[in-house]
Amino acid sequence: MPPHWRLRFHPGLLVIPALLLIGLVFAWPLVRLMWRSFSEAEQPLANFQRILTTPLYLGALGRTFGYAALATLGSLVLGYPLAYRMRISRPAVRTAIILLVVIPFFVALLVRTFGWMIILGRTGPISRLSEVLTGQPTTLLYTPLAVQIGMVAILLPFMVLPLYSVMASIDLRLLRAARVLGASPAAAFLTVFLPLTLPGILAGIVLVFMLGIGFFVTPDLLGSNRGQVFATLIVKAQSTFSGSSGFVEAMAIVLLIVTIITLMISSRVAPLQQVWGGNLGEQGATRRRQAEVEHLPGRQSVTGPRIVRSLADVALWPAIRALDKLPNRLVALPAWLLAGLAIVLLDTPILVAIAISFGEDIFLSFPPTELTLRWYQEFAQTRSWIDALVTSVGVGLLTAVFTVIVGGMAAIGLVRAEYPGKDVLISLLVGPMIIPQVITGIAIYYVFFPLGLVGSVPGLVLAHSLVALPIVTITMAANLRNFDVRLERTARVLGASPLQAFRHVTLPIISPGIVVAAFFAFLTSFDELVFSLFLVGVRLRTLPIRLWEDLHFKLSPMLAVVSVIEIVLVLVAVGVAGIVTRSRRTVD
Amino acid sequence: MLAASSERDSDTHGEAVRLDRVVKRFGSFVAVDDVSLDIAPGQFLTLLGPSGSGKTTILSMIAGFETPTSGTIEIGRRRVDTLNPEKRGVGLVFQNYALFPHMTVAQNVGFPLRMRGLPRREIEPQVLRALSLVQLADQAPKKPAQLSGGQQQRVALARALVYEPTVLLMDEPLGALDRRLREVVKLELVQLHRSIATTIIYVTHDQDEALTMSDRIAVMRSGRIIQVGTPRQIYEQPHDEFIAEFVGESSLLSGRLHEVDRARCRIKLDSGPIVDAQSPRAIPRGQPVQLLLRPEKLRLLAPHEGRLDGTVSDAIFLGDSMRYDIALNDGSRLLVRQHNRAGLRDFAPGDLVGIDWDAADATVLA
Repeated sequence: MPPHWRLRFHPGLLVIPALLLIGLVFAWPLVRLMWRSFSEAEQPLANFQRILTTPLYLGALGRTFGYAALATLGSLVLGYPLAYRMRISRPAVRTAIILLVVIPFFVALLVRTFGWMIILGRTGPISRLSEVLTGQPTTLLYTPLAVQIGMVAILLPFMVLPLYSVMASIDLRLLRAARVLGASPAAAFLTVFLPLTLPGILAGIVLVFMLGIGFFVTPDLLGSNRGQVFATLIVKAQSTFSGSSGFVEAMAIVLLIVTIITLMISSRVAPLQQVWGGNLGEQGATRRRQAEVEHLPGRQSVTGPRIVRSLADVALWPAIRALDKLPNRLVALPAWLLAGLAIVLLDTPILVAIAISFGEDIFLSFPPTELTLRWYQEFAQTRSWIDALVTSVGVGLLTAVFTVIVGGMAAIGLVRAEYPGKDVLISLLVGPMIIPQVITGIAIYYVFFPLGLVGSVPGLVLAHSLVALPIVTITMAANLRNFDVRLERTARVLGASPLQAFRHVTLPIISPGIVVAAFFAFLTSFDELVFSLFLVGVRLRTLPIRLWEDLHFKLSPMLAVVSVIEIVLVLVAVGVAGIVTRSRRTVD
Repeated sequence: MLAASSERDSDTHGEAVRLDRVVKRFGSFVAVDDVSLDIAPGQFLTLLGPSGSGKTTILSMIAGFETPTSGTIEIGRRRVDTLNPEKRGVGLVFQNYALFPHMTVAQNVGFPLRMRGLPRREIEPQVLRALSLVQLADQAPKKPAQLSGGQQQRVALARALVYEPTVLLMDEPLGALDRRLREVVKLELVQLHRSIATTIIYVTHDQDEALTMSDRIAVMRSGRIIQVGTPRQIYEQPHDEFIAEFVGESSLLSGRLHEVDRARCRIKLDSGPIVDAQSPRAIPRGQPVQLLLRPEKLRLLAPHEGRLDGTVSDAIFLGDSMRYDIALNDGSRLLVRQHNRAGLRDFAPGDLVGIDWDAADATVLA
């Protein structure tokens, strides 16, 4: 697209504020962190030596990989059938399933983990069921199994959503075409549908695995003290090693290097652009996707390399013919069961949290025996909870305003201009989403502390903006791209200046998208825990921080009340987004 | 192998495809309403109708994506209406071609053979043969996205023909092509059909495509077939106004049947004049009728020299012809198309003219 904005300055310059934010709150702190990990130590490599020779740390690293790998496998096995079900359902059913996936996706991970603590806990439904069946209560909580279940449940949306977005772009008539050309349902699925979803599968695997490596909230809350993952050790070390030996920094760097190596390996097989805001790079995005599809392994499954061919002849085709002999229902049943299980894993913790908030029982038994509003009253009367709520709302609003301005400008700069190095820019923008937040959080802490920003609202807003910025920019860029540029050109021909055209034509049309972006930004900040852990200091408390402290200290029904507040907020946000997208559709 | 085999033809004496009292309901909506149709082997039959008239539903039922609510479908005298699509052995070209984007052209065309369990060494020559039939043998290693729209269309055709289906179904296959390309592909399809003699059932809402390519046309409206005939029959003796207006340009004048003899009849138009027309079948005298006049069958003369008089209200030069919009004295309008030929007089808006036609060119509709 030729530049159609005859501004005096290059629209690409609009990304500068976003770049400044990322540079000062992300890139620079990371560089400092790396430097400190060497410079603060007695010998440059002493810290790394210690990490790589201590069984505690090596064990935690291994455990981290194990949990991440199993969580990836689990969410693929559950997520693929669910995404497929979404794709082939009637629109009404599809909308319902999408809501059941998207709502948990937005509900804070702390709230969902809290739900799991109850479900897996001593007075939870599983324990009670086992008491009825075997006479013995079973507490899964604080076992590796609990960590694994929680991780799959919480990371599942990151598998389902990329899978679904790839599936949604597949024309189902291709399956019909395969059928009429002689393929059985199983053959049509395996030869046409499955290969076409490969980019989504790879994207989901990379996404879930990367998130799994940096995960610590769920493993920390659901796992035992001895079975800690690497990220948890970093957080623990940060609060105990107060001296400046650079050891915490070195641990963060180890995790960073592990992440980057994983990223480099996976970028060889997976279309990463697509995973992290690939749609930001407007032009040629489809072309690039095409090229990616063509370069994917397995693309030649049809008459590809000889080995694949003979493998297919030996294993695949007999398998398909065997499947064909079974009644269709029998083949479909396990898939639907898995999809159902996925929904259960996604949504029951939320329902449990809601139920608990109305329960009388202080020991959080589920299901509750008596209903009461007592905990809501208590919440409203507890000064510290209200203070935390006010802080969270305030920080959230500031973050929303700040990121919509900075991210909106960046979106214009990315969509409305062509310049070399745009790809690099985009990777920088989504960087904060890729690098585990534990690492970035520590890095920011060391930069903010001398500036007096730790324990301050501006500090929190800056850090939260870093997480919200990619989401806001992606949302707004998508909106801008859907906007018909000819409308703006028409306004120009009719006598409007570039700014007038933007204000009177573009802005009103994309404003619903801005509202949605602002909501997402608010929600991101409202839920933010990891950065806040490092930055709240001694006195400042946000809602997630209070939750986090109570979850460690004692489980109380108040936590459920906070969860309900959070869930209501998410429902409102999703509702608004739904209404806005619907009204946009009628505009189109 | 793709050429017509006389053996196969004699084998299926009778119909290639037979629909008997087929009904398809979606809830309370009747998409296909009691349709019976016989299609002879090797015939090119077009289902022509506006969108929503049920033609694509019929195609889907023949292909096996929909099951008839009642009635039967036979292909080659075998009842198929409960069979899965992959067991029916029909070919289908989709409107958007439905080429598999992750497979090369050769893999796409080879797909149906692979599904039939053919050994690999037999697949390759057959794929090449099918691709040469549509002049795309050199494109075999490419991906569909690398081809032009017209080429993709031909790949879809090759893929549908490679396993030699006795029946080839085509669902508006030219819809995605631009006008110029459509003209070319249309003629290619006619030639292809002549060389392979496969039965073709073709769905379109484009009367031009229907008239150019078909052996027979079935015109559909609201789930029913309202007329079946050769293109000439449909054009020149449409059963009703709807068909007359849907197929080709037309002008209709209302009147009453005044006199009838064997070859021709006389119509008393509502505006007064009595004019000659082709004799209709079985319409009683005095009944109100519509007189169908096709633009190219009318001649413009000096005033009072023709059967009717009128004023030219618009004249448009179309290159090969002139198109006149004539206002008759009672206010009704006639379209006249006159070839662009030396010796024919041009008229300008405002000119008074007489309009004439051969009685055999004017059709009476009940």
